[in-house]
Formats: sequence, structure tokens, C-alpha cells
Amino acid sequence: MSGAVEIEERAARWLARRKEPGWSDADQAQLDAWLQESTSHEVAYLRLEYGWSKVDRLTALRRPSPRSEQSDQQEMLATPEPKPRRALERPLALSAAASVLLLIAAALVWFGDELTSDVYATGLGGHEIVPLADGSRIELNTNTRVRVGFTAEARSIWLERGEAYFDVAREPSRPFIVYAGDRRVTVLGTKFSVRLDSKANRVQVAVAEGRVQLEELRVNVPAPPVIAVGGDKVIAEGASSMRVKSGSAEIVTTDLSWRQGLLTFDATTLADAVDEFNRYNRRKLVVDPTVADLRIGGSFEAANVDAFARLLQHGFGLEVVESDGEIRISE
Amino acid sequence: MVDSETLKTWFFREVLPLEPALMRFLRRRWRNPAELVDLRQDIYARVYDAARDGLPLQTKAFLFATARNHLINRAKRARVISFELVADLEALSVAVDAITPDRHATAREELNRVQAGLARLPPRCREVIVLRKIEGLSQREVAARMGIGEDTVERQMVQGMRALVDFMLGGTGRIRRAAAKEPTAKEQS
Repeated sequence: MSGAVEIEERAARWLARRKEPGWSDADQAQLDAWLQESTSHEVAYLRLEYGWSKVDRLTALRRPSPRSEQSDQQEMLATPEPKPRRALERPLALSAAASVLLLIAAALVWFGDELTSDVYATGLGGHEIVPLADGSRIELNTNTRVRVGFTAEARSIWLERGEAYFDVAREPSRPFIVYAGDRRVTVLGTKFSVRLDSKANRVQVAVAEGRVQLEELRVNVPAPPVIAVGGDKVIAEGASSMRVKSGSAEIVTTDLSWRQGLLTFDATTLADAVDEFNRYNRRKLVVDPTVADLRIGGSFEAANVDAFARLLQHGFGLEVVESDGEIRISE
Repeated sequence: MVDSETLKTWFFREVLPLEPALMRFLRRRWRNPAELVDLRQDIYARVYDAARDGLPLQTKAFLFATARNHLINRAKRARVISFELVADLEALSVAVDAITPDRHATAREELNRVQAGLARLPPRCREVIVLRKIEGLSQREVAARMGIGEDTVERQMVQGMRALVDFMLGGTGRIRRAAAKEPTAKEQS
């Protein structure tokens, strides 16, 4: 019995061969037989066909082009390499691929501007991992929006809303900068998260590994930059300065439990816990002032509002009533 | 009984676009990343077989219910999984609403995604894909052009295709190859 990976490879080989000249009826018959052998073969093949057709956008660039399409093609093939000059150093080869790459190198030097400017966003309860061309990864939490703009000089990210975790590939020649609210976080290579709370004018940075520098960008606010290392959490609030909570790796891990889909509370008030839940879910929890100060602890699935409510009902003996898409918690 | 054309179209239009959400779902609930490709394939196969008798009314709910049940069965069979995991999976009421649909990519975004996917490929692999897909060369012509064997070209094509498809369907674009004898995961799929 073949493993799933073997089946996928086999399916890919079939798909590649099918586009070759000389594909015969006998070949087609063999493919059909293989597809019928097992549903796993069929779904693996269909999945590849589906995904590969998305790559077909590339073939739109094959036609000889008016000017605009040509720059599109160059941009299309441009791999944002950290050292664009590398292609120029290659000896002139006769193959079309190499000459295309030379054109790209020229285009990179010529235009020099942004190679990519992409926006990624998640909805309520969303969670998405975005790999970047330099090998870094951004993990978006609920209701988050980031804009990525890499140039030859710097790797810039704008956190426009929400919270994201960054796993940054080391590239000393190109600083990695995250802009959030009125602040900027600069790193060389590290793992950290940034959370923007626009209403409270607060930016929180939790560093899992490495070293970051958090700076205030507004000119009239005299706050010196702050350095944070692994295990630190920095909170920059309002118009004033930034506090660094030096701590254990544990504090940071708790903060980052959303990456496993969990919310972790430790002697947290019910009011605060409910605020956190509401960031992830459309059905909102509402807490009566009489019970807002109850302290709770534990790990909960961020998306499972019902389980949390049930726990409050059976564990704490609270009253839980749902109406109009709201869940009210009271004595 | 559903005819095969209808079945295929349904699978393309309604099931495969859910892969990013499905993979997020699986990644969070299954400890071993090396088994994700297996799980995904099994779940797709089950869903496909079930749909032969009649397409489900709510594809998303059906897919995730199938996924959940499959995880529970696998966990029970493995027997090394802790009691807590099984209890957790069973108690999990899959609030299907909470699984946010991915926004539909615009043409521009898809193009960008393909570009990013290409950038992640090893250079030789990328060149093979570019020559085949953009220049439209056959595998033989690519082999001649690059001065390598046709077998190598096919291998690079297979690797590149799988990585790109993985990336287009919301994955990381890094793939495990079947070549390794030991089941140790080289990279996550």
C-alpha cells in the first residue's frame, strides 16, 4: 500500500506526462486504470489538477507582448533575491532562461522599487500563516490585517489591525521592520508578536527569541527606544513611554497560545477574559458587573464560546442566557 | 448515483477551495505534522466516496464532520494518544461558523501568490517550471536546453508542481519527498 506522499508524487508524474507531446491513447488508458484503482489516487490527481490550473496564470505571459505585458512578465519572474546583482555576474549563456534572468536583473536595478506590496487579512476567529519570500513567516491572528512591502533596502510590514506573530529570517543587510500604530519594531532575526489595539492606542510586543527594538515614531513624543529580548513583553500605551516586563519565557508562551488556537488565563478577571473571547467570535459574551471581577484560570479553545459558557454555568454556577446573538453571564 | 463529471466538478468547486481552512483545522488538532498529507488524502477520499451516492447539501459542514470523525478514529487506533485528546475531540462541537471562509483571491493576488510560490523553489526546479510553463517547452526540450537528463527534468517538475500546488492551496510550499526510508519528517507538508 502506497503512502500518501507516494501517491501524490505518482499523480504529479501523470499530470506532467499528460502535457507532453506523444501522449497516446494507450497512455490515457493506463492513467484511467490507475485513477480507478483507488479513490485516493483520484482525489490526489484532482487536487493537483486544481492547484496546477491556478498556476496557469503564468501561461498568460507566454504571448509576445506589448510593453505593459512585458514588464509584467519580468516582474512575474523576478525572484526577490537579496542580492540582485547575482544574475548579472553570471557568464552570458545562450539559453533563453538565462537571458530572461539578465533582463530581470536589469529591471530590478532599473525600477529598484517595491517588488511586492501585498495585503493579507483574516476575519473574526481567523488564523492564517503567510510565508514571505525571504523565508520569514507571519502568522495572523483573529481580525488582523497586514501589508507587506519588501524592497532591496528593507523588509517592511504594516500591522494595520489586530495581532501577528513574526518568525524572521536573518538577513543583516535588510532590516525587518514592523509598523504598528505610531510605533515601529525593528529586528534582525527573531521570533516575536505584535498586537495593535487602536482604540486603546496600545501596542504590545512579546518576544519569544532574539532581540527587537521598539521606537516611538511621533516627533513630539520624547520617548527613548526600548530594547526587548527573549522572554520580554513590552507595552506601549497612550502618549507615554513604554514598559518592559522582563519575564519568563512562560509569560510569552501564554501570550502566544493563540497560535495553538487557545486562550490562556491565569487569575484573569472574567471581564478581561470575555474581552479576549470577543476578539475571536461573532457571538459576543456580555458580563454582568456583579460577576465581572471573578478570577478564572485555564486554557480554552478560542473559537469555542459555548464550551466556555457551559463551564461558567456548571463550574461556577453562573447564569448563562443567550438572546439575539449575545450570551449574557450573570449571577 | 452521481455521474462522474458532476462529482468532479463538485469536488473542484466546493471541496478543494476549503483546503486552507481544512489544513488549519488539522494542524491544530493533530500532533504529528508528518501525517497531515495522509490525513488530508484520506479525508478527501472519504468525502469523495460518500458523495458518489449523493452530493451533500452542506459541503463545508460535511467535510469538517468527516475530518473530525476521521481524527477521532485515527486517534483511537493509535492508542498512544492520551485520553484527553480523544475527549477533547469528541467534546469539540465544530462550530462551522467559526471556521472563517478564506477571502476569494483576486486575479492580481493569485498572480502574486504564484510569484511568491516560484520564489520559494530551489533555482533549478524553478527554471524547469519556467521553461515548461512559460516558454512552453516539452520535457525533452527542457532537458536539452539545460543540459540535464530527462529523468531529472521530470523529477524537478514533480517536486516543483507539488510545492507550487501546496502553496497555492494555502500551504507553506515546502514538501516532504517519499524518498526517505525512515518516516522521520524532513519538513512539514
